[in-house]
Amino acid sequence: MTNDMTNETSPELRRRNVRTAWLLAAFSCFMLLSSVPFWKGLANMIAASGL
Amino acid sequence: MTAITLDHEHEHHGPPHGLRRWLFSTNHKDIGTMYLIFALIMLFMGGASAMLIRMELFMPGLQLLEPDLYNNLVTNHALLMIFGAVMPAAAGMANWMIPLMIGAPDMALPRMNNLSFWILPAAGTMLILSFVVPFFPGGGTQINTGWTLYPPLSIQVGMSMDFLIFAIHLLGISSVLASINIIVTIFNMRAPGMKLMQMPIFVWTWLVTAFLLILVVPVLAGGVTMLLFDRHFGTSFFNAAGGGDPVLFQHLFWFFGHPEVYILILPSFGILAAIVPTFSRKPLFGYNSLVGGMIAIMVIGMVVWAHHQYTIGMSLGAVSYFMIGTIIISIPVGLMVFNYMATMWKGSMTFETPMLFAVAILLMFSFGGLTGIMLAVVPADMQYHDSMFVVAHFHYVLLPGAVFGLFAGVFYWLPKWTGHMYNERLAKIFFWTNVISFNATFFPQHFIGLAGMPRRIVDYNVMFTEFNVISSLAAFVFGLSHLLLLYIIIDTIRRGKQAKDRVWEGAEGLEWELPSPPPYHSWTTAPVLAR
Ligand code: HEM
Ligand SMILES: [Cu+2]
Repeated sequence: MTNDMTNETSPELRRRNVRTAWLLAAFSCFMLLSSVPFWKGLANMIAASGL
Repeated sequence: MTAITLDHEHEHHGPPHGLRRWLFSTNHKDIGTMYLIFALIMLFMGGASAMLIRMELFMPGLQLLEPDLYNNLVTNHALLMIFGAVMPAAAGMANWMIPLMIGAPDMALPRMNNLSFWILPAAGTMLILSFVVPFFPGGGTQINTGWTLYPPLSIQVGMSMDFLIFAIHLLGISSVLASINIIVTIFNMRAPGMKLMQMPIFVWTWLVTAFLLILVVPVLAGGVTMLLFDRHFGTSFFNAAGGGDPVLFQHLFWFFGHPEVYILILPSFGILAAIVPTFSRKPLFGYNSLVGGMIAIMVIGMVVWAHHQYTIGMSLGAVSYFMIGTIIISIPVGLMVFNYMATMWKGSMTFETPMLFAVAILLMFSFGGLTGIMLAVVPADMQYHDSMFVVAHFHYVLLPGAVFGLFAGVFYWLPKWTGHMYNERLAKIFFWTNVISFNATFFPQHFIGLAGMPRRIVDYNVMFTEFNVISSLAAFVFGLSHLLLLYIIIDTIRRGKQAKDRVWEGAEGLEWELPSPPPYHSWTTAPVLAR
């Protein structure tokens, strides 16, 4: 980023930042997608089993 | 030639002028400021709805609010405070302080930072629309579910619920983007040589908070999306008639909702970790155990959610598990409190406003923790559940644990942010009116709750009148006291005395090595750490 509001960072660091960000974004998407079937199954299990 | 233009650019490193500076901002300090201003506005809107609630409850019977409007206000109050005030204020502190504390020139992803903030005004507008839309012709019924949005009621509500679901989606996107940014900043942008275990505890609390956010906010988003589908697209996730299960929504909601309470308090506990050593003039006690404690809170906090649902008829095994888990979680929470007390032990303490708040927080938060343990006990909760006792519990943990911690942070860092010292005498007056009226508002609610007054009901039995009168009167004082806070902040910016770079004599950390206020661009070359 080079503009008058933000300090510049080196291209390597910028690439590393973007990579880490995508990794975390993928993880939050995984949480979103898994929430429906996974928690539904767990709720069913809790309801059905005596645990 | 090139060299000259470069030099020229360097001279123009102040902020750009006008609207452009804020609308297109990629500067962590400006974005932090905008978060904080947004949070303050939302605090007053949420406060206004609280005042209306307490006005109605001033006397038994129906005074000024229709039952549906009352419940609409209860819903709106919680959402404005949680998503509008506390979370953005904590994010504002993160934006301002994390780069300064770890010696980074800015956040890792400055343009995404801009997006995270600017989603908020849109989300806030949707949230407020969800409150007002029913008052327009054809606007449907009001949201009367409370912030928990349980179906089937939330499926029957009119279109205002769709506004609310959209608002929650937007707020969720904003939180997840901000969390990603914070994690990347902490992982990749620390000054050379600063190990994770050398970061200030405030940075650690935000690292854990950000991970909690990306773990649970998508689940809430999933839950409300399923709600949206049930409302409009004929699915039956939560509809028993179609083979679904309304209780599933409760599990999804509380899988988010319980970790959310730690999301709300952890950043404030990080602020305490900065304040307490400064005014005790001693190093923080038990750094490693604080880090361990908050990781334990994160892990255990994810698996105790059903203590909010004891009364739905779970098996004995399930409720026992959730009860034991819930009680266990108070151990790491207590550990953090004890660490702060040990930090004060035999220190040469002074009681400037941030420290006054810190001491009061530890006392009042611990009290809220104790009522939490009462609620965690399954047979007892069968009586307490959905009573004013729960309301008293969570206001005792949330106001001291989250809101007062943020106030303490504002007083602690305002001189650093603005370069001006606040008026200590006014701030102390604010502290005492705020804390005393808070206790007078919520302490009586324990008694009326135990005596059987339900929460979220517009009317109540005449036997609860006296304590409700006390609660309402104190609430008006509490609400008004925040105008003094607003005045102090404006007064500081306008007329405050010039603050020193190291504002507090006992303060340590990179942020105090910078001038007050810090230059628009700080740590353009990474600081060299001693040791
Ligand atoms: C010492 C640890 C704690 C324990 C054992 C505990 C236990 C509980 C239990 C069992 C309930 C459910 C009561 C019911 O609905 O019948 C509850 C409600 C609640 N707690 Fe806590 N709690 C603790 C700490 C906290 C903290 C630190 C916060 C937030 C900062 C918090 C915020 C809340 C909120 C907001 C509710 C009510 C949610 C609602 O129904 O709208 N609690 N707590
Ligand atoms: Cu909980």
